[in-house]
Amino acid sequence: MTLRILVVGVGGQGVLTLARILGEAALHAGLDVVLGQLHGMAQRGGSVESAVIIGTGVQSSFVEQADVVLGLEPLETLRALPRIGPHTHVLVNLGRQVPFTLSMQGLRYPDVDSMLQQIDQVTPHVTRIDGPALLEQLGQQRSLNLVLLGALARTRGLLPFDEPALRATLTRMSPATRLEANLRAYDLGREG
Amino acid sequence: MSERARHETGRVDLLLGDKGQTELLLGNEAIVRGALEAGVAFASGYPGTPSSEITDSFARVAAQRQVVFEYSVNEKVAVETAFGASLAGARAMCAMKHLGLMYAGDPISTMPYVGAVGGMVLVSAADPSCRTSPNEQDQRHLAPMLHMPLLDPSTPQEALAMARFAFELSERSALPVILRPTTRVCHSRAVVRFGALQPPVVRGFSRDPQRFVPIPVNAHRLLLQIPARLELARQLLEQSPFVRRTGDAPAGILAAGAPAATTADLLADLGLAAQVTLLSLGAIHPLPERWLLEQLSRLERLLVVEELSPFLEDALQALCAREHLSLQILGKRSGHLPLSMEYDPHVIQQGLHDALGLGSAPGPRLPAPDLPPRPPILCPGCTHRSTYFAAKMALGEEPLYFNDIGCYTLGYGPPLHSADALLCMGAGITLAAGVSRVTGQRTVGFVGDSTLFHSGLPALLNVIKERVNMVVVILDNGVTAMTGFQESPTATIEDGQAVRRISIETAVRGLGAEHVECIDPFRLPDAIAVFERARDRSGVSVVISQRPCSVFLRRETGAARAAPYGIDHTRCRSCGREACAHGCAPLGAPEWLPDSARAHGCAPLGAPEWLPDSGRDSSARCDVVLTRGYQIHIAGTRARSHLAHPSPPVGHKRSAPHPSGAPPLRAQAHSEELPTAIAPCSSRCPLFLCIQGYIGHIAAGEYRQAVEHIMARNPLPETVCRVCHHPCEAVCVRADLDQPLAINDLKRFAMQHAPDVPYNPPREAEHGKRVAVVGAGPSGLCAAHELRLRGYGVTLLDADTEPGGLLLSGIPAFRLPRQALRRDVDRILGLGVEFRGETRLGRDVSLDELLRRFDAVYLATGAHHGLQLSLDGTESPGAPVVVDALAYLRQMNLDPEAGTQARCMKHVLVVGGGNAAIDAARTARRMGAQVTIVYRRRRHEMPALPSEVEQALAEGVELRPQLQPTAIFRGNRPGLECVVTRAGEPDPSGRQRPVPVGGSEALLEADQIIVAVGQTPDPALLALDGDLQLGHHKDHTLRVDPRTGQTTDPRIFAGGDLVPGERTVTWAMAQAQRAAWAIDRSLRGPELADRRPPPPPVSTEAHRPTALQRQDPGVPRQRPAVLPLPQRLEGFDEVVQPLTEDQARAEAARCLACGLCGNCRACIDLFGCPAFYIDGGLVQIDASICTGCGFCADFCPNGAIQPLGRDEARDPLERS
Repeated sequence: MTLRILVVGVGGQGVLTLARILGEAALHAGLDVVLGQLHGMAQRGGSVESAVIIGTGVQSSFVEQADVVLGLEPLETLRALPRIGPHTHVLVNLGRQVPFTLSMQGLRYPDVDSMLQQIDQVTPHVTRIDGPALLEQLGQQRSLNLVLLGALARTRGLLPFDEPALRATLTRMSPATRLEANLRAYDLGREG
Repeated sequence: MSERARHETGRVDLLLGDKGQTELLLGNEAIVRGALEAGVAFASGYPGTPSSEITDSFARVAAQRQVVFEYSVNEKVAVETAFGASLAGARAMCAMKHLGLMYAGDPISTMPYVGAVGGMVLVSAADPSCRTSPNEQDQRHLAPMLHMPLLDPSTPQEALAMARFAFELSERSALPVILRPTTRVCHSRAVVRFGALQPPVVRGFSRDPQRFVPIPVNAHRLLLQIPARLELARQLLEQSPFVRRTGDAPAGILAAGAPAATTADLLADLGLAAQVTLLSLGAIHPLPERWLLEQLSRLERLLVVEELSPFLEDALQALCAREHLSLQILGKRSGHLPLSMEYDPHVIQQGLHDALGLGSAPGPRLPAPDLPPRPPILCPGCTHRSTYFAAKMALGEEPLYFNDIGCYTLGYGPPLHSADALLCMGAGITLAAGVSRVTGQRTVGFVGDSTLFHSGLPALLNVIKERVNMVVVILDNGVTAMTGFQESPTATIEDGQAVRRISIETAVRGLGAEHVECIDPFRLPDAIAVFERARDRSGVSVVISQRPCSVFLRRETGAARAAPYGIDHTRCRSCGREACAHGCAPLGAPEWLPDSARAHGCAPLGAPEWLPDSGRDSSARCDVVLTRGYQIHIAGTRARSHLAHPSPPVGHKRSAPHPSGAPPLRAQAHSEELPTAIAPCSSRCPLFLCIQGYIGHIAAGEYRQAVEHIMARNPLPETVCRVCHHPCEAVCVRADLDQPLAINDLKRFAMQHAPDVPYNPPREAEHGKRVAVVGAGPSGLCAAHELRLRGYGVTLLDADTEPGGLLLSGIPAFRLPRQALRRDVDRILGLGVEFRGETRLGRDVSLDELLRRFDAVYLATGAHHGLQLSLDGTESPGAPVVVDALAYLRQMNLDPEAGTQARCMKHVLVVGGGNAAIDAARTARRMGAQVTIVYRRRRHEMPALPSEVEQALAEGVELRPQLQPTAIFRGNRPGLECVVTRAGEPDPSGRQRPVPVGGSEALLEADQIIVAVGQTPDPALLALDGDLQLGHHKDHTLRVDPRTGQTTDPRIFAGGDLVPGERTVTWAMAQAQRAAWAIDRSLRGPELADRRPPPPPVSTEAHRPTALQRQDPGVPRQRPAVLPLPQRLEGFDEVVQPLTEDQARAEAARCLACGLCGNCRACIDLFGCPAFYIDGGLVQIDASICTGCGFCADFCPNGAIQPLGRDEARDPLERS
């Protein structure tokens, strides 16, 4: 069984790191995994996506139909709509980042509710996460990706490894100075 | 949590694990691991996506593995240095992106002749779909051309194996080997199993000049050895694990590189693996022909799946032809697979179906939702944005800008538009030079610091040597940022501080550059000044903009972001488009517009085009033709006055005191005393024109836009710019500094370009209602124009044969040439106005008749009835001839025979002090007479325009103020008896009453007396219709509602000199526009009529700032040339000439743009920091994105950007 996870967001939100954590957790669980990422200019506030494909014998990193979509930003999540199907689980952060091209043309950022309704029409498994509110609770602006990771962990049965394994991976990968803050963000996402 | 953090955990490096260990590695990392397992001793490279992680990984682990590593300055140096290591018997790897291999073209073409000693592996990463490159290129073609083996991995594991194998292959064949992964493999992370690390070995350099020095005699011999070496390589590849077959079926697929992995997965997903033979090929050159022939002979048809060009497909076709193997080979040439771009599963599945009949066709690609794109842009706080901004403020939009490769390439496109062309590393300089050399234009070339040392130095030397006329801007942010913040030759980070290793300034001067200046891009006023100096020189000017990359510095020093900034919306002057369907909040709704019309708050500037019901483009605003040149001028003008003497917000760390210590001078944009936001010139203009708008266009060199802007609300521009009494100039802010702007002259200059601009004003479709306009003077013409735009059928009647009224009959041609007036008239008539000349109200048509045939009537018959002098002796015949001024002027202007009689008059007296008197006097002068103006009050009390009085005096007219006529004498000594007056008590007009001084009578000789003491409307007009009694005043002007021009009859409106008012051309025009609006309101209702709000009644308050101090030095007003005196008096040629273009630009630049029009969006439209966004029509700053650099607060023309909290973090630069 191959599990295809797509992580999307804006450059700088930690999309690649989030994918990496999932990949390392899969590896540690003895699973075959491929991560796909196309970057180079992504840090400059552009659209970013990263794929996590867990399954025996998979060699390439394309995701045409995702089983899970982790959306760190609503507009970017909707951009992935062609790859969302009726069985896809979508976790989407509601906090928006207005692309600068919109401001320049004097246009409005599309209404978030209408955007997410388009996703609702394709799949019933949509979880909305109020990233800004949670981050404010945390008192920090970073670590949105870890909040979403926690939220993903909350959904039972989606991942081919258990939640403690994921938390252990995060612990392993965090530098000592960031460990506590990282776990707090992760736990907050997990507890909702 | 970031990638770097991982390595801070204190574990063994990701790439240095033991044999048997598995890790998730990028393809790039796997290549490094493979090299380490082969005992690589030297590694070099230049960063370039998608290869950068190779050099970055070496940078991290080289020391631990005793590998000598360097970030070379460019790929050629990297390749040559690596080859040197190879010649010394060391295994060497060199990594770059695909473009880099071409850059190293010279060395790689000779290296195979000389041959590798220690294994030499060139890793050149390709970029199908050119996601991070200006091109995609199929480097596989280089392999046969250069006689080098080439390997193409499909997975990270295979990349590791190939990297390791390549060294052995290289040593045994003595050929450098190219390892060519693509982005998909480079940047995929997969489970990779490690082999054993090997220590590096350096065997040393063994002399062999006959081999190592390929002078021709040696080269001939070496060349002949190559085929055998290639054959050895081929055999090794045939036996390698990089040729694989799975499955056994007549239908075959040959897939190479990343597509091989994609194809394998696709076959598994579709369950087709058993139906096809899959040949996976990683050994590309020399082609493993024996193996291939064996495989191909078992197939009936073959689909070749490869990216970029049909390299393998063609090679296989040739192979089969040579070996007489008949096999149907399908792929790109047969049209089953695309010729370019990366292959995703969809593409391959389509190919499988179409070419081999395997599986089902994939459904159509689901269209990507139509969403706003999110391209990468310069980071918030980026120093490049600031450099570009300063350059644009100084240089403007006109120069051509050439750009180069780096983060700063993102200056392309809006809003910075700093790239007109770009090619490759270093070409920012040379492209600019090429253009400059053939056109003579002063061009601008941008180049980064890393790029400069990569390949910009020879370019710079070349332009200095050739004395090219250009500005070179070096963007030195101390790091190779775009590819991942690799070190640049210029700087390194030691102990958390940016340390400069190379002085670019010294290097540039060493190359012979004479004009070199350095700037800190965050110190905007100085930066602008430096760019201005560079702009004004000739030859090569170099500007070095130095400040470490903000992101890099924060990363390296760990400094926290400074406190973010926010917008003060009481000062921000952004139009707020989105919300402004009903009211322009910053300007405030004008109060004089009644009830519902108040909703269209932007009335003074005209109906905004973004009103939803007008159906216009929402991106346009006001009457200004919103161009970048205009925006830069307006924002730049205000920003400069703001910067020169800033009143920075409290807490802003970059507040700078005025250098001279003098109290700050601020343009009124920052004055708190201004009661409204409208520019004084606009508020005093009867037509409420946006004057700074068209002046701004002229300043920006946009003359056509200036014409469009002027003609949007002024239908008689040629007339107005010559005869208007310019109340705007009287209240111009500069009147307090030096001299007011020459507004009329500027408008005239712009109108010279009118023939280039087609006149297509927005107009409503005809709706069948019709209005009669009686009188074709300025008021009638303007009413006709306005009503036509509102869709009315208009018939314009006039007693004269031609339209113009007093413009034609009263104003002489030397002030208003006939052709100029004709242009205005024709433009209005061209809208479809029906003109009926020689039609006098009362004689040829009655008011009653008009009311029957039309839905409304506008009366603008003017005041042509000259007041008479009540003097003795006027009735007797004989000289002096007494004539009314308007009658005189009419005769002189319209009757070609009139001059003959007029020339007989030798002594002409003109009684009066208004413009009619001056016009008559100057006309009489041209008839050769001695002319004296007699005026009963003092000179400064004359109602005529002072400039007209000066012209008259210059032409030899004598002025005798304080003389009042008492009697006319005929007979022997014809003339006018006058008495001297003195100023007495004020009369009802406020002026002092002239009091005759008894006994001071004198006789002035005259054979003609022209009387110009005032005009009234024709009293006969009011007796025209028995049943219709129009209310009127004692002076025969009609009684009207001053706001609408409506008479006592609701269907009859009136304006111009026929009604009480200012008796000026523009006042008459404004009344006409108000009347047209009121007529429209009464006939079609406010909803339609208010879409073109009329000008408001002029406020009598002068909106002048009081806190304005002298700016030093004052800039004098430009004066247009005038005809020399003798030429003037010979005829009626126009006296005042237009400003020259230089004069016009200089004069327009004096405008302080002090009116706070709701147009400023400099932060978004000119600067472009991603922290800005628009919410609810207001500009906002996203505090989570803002880095607190404060640059925007420096240039915001309205001082509307403030830091939000106390700034705790210090500027890291200020520490050093």
